[in-house]
Amino acid sequence: MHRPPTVQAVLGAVLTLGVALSLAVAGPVLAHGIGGKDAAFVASSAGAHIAPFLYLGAKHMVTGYDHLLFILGVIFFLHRLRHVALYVTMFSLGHSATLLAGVLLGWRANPYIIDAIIGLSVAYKAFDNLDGFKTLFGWTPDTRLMVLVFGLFHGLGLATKLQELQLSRRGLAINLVSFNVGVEIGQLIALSLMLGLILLWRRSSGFARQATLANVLILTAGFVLMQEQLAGYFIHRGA
Amino acid sequence: MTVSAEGHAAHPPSRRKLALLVGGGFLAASLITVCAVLPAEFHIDPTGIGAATGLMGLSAAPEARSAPASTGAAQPGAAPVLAREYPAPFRSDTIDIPLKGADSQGSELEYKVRMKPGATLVYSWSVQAPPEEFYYDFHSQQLPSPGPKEVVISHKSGIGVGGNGALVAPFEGIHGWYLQNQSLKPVVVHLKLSGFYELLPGGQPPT
Repeated sequence: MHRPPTVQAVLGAVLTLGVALSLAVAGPVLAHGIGGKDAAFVASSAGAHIAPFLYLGAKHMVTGYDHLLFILGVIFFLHRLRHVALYVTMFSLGHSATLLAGVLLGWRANPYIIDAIIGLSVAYKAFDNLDGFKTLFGWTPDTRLMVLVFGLFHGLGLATKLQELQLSRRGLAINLVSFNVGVEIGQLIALSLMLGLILLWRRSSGFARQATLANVLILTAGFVLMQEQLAGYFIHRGA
Repeated sequence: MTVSAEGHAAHPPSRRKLALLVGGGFLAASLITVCAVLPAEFHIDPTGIGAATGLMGLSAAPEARSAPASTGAAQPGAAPVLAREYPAPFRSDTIDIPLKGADSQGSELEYKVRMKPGATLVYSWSVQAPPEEFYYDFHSQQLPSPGPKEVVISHKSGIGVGGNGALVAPFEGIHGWYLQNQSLKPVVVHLKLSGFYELLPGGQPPT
């Protein structure tokens, strides 16, 4: 049975392809840090700056394709708003905990390893979406728990990026909370957009088949992210 | 429907198809990494595709591009470079240049230093002479000259007994002062230099 692709199908395909394939051309080595004038601002700011750090947090999330791909994977097959809220809360709890604790306690993780794990989290969720664990191993790890655990790593990544800039101790707690709230706002914005597009896409007849392909693309993108970061780790380890 | 049943494909692919898809995905990812990401990000090109497509230029660029920016002259139309770094060592010199009275040989002199394009010199000079009887011309001369015509840029000239300032060399060459004592008494010019340059013997250009 062959039907011309609907608007929704095209939208959906563009969404996934866009996010997944932009990896091939985008991407400075450190998946994405806080750069340029933003970094200069952070380094020069002592004292509380609520609005700028809110904005930086939101921007970091909205422009962070590694975080976005993971969220896309998480919500891909969620149908009820209650479930979307539950999984996103798990993710937020995870990354908030390590972002706050990481910066306040000065945890320094190797950014390549953290980013490789974040890449792995993208691949994990796409594999999980395809029900790969049940099909291949007959057992599926609890998705809620996995989203929480990977959320912890995403937060550690955020904490590491933020600490690469010289954060002033003055007003640190307020700035940090502002950044974190900004991350959640940015996540909500990105989530709403992706959810809207997915809902449209699901109405098209070809969704089931396209969804498999889309998740294979997300899986591939996750592997690329992971391999790039591992390459960075091994290449720069000696330096 | 329970929570754990949500979040998965309604019709997941079969075991065989899944293995193919995941394997294919990993293979595609590895191809992208080896052919595109490694050359573009890390300047490693195992396949030669990076060199053929110019992707290698992305990772070679930072060092290659910063070299002329750090020592080179300003590109036309480019934003002004506000901060510069030089591989050459920083140096400071204080030089006393005696000039005889205007009625004898040795009342005038060219004192110059050699500089790379973009290099910076900070200077201060003064002379104890009657204010109306000393002439100077601060200028840059390109070396080696590209053609029969000499390239000389005069920065400042006139009657005066001192000056403080800085120069960013517009090109490789010799940069400095023509000094002329117009009074009848001998004078000494005190010149202080700091920056990135080489002294020329006697302050004279090699002829």
